[in-house]
Amino acid sequence: MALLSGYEAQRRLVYLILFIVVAIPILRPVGLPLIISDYTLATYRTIEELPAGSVVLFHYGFGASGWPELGPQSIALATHLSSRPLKVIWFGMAGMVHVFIEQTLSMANLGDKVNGKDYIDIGYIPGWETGLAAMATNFHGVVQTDYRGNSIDGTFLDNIHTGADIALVISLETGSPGFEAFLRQFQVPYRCKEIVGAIGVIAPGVVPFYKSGQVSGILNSVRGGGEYELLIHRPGEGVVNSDVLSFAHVWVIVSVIVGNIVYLWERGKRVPVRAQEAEK
Amino acid sequence: MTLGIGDLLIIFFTLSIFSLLYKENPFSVFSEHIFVTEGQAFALIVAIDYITKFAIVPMYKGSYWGIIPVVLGLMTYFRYTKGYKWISRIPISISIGVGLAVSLRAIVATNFLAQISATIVPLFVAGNLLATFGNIVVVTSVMTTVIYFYFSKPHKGVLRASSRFGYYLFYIAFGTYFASVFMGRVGLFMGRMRDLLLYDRMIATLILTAIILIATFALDKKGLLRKSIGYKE
Repeated sequence: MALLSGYEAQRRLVYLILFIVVAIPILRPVGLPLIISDYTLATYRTIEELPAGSVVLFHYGFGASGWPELGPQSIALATHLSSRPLKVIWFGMAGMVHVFIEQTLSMANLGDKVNGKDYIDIGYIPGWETGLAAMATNFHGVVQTDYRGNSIDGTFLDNIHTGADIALVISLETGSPGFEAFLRQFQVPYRCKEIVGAIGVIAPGVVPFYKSGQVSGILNSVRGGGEYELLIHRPGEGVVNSDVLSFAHVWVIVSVIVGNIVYLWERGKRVPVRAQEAEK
Repeated sequence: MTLGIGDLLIIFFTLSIFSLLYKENPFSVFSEHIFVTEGQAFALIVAIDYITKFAIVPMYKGSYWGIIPVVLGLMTYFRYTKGYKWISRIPISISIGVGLAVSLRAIVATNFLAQISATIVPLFVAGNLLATFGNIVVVTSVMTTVIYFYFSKPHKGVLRASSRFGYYLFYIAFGTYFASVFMGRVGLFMGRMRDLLLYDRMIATLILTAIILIATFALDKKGLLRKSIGYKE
C-alpha cells in the first residue's frame, strides 16, 4: 500500500480520478448545454458580413500541442468560410503547419470549393513579424508558389499585392508571432479585420483588443470551437470536448474545496511548535 | 479498421510520458528524448527546404539576392570560433534592428492609442444597466491599477485606498489567467485521452499500459529505476 500513502498518493489519486472523469464523456458524450458567447457570435457575424469575393488570410500559429484546443475551431471556421463566396489563403509561421492545414482541409466540409480557385495553401512562411510585414507590403515577393511548389500564377492570388487586398485575417495561435503582429502589419496600415482563435492561456489577453474594436471576434480555446460548431449547425469534436472540459472543471473545483477543508482541518489538529517545546 | 504502426506509436509515447506521473522511468526519458530530437530534425528539414526554395534555386535562375540572407545566416556560426566571435553579432544586430523597426512602426497605434481611447467610455449608458456597470468597472480598474504603479508620492489616504483596490484587481486578473491556463492544459490532456480512447485503440492502450506499468514497478521494486535512466548511485 506504499503506493497509496502520504502526499504522493493523494496526488496520484487526484490524477487517477481526473483520468476517469475525462474518460467518461469521451466514451459516452453527454451533450451538456453550451451557451454561445458574444465573442464567438461576433466571429460568426464578421464572416457572414464579408462581401462576396473577399479574400481571407487564414494563419496557423501552432504546432501539435495546439491542435486539441484549436483544431475544432479551425475545422468549424473552414466549413463556415467554405459555405460563403470567399477566397481563402491558408498559411502558417510554425514549422509543421502544413500537417494541420491538410488535416483541417480533409476534415472540414469544403462543399464545391476548388483548390487554386477558391482557396490555396501557401504553407510555411518564416520570419515571424518581419515575414508578415513583407507579405503585407509585397505579397508576391514572399509567396511565389503554393505549398507543393506549384506556381501561383493564374490563381486568385494574382489580384493580391498588399495587405489592402485582404479583407479579413484569421489567426489561430498559441502565442507567436501573436495576434498583435497582425494588428500592426495588417489592421493598422490596411484596415483589415481580424479574428483571433486563441488557446486558453492567451485568450484573456485578447479581450481588451476586442473591447477596443481592434479585434472583431475571439474563439476561446476548446469552448470557442464547440460554440462555433453549434453556430454552424455541425456539432462535432468541439462540442464533445466542451463536455470533457466541464467534467474536468467540476472535478478540479471539488478537489480545491476538499483540499482546503482537509488543510484547515489538519491545521486545527496540529499542535503549535512552541506548545510542543513547552511540553518538553 | 486495423491498427497501424502510427497508432501504436501514438499510444506508446503518450502512455510513456504519462508514466512520469508515477516516477521518472526509462519509458518517460526515452519519449522525452525522441520528442526533442524529432522536433529538431523537423525544424532542420523545414529550414533546408525553405533555403533551397528561396535562395539556392533562384541563384540557379540568375537571381542572386538570396545570397545576402544566406551569408548573414552563415555568419552566425562564427560564435563557435574564438577570435572571430564578434562577426556573429552582425547578423543578430541586423535581425533585431529590422524586427524592432517593423513592429515599432505601428505599436503606438495598436497598443497605446486604441487601448487608451477604449478606456474613455461614458460612465452612464441610458437604458443599459449592464453596459453602465461594465464601463464603470473598466474606468475604475484602469485608474486604480495605474495608481498602484504611481511611486512619486507615498500611498496614504485616498491614494492608498485606490492602490489597494488596484492591487486586489490584480488578483482577480491572475485568477482569470490561471483558470484559462488550466482550461488549456485540460485541453491538451483531453487531446491525448481522445487518442488513447478511440474504439480501435482501446485494447492496445490497455496492453501497453500494463506493459509500461509492470516494467516500471518491477524496476522500482528492485531499486533500479534511477540507475536505469542514467543516475549514478
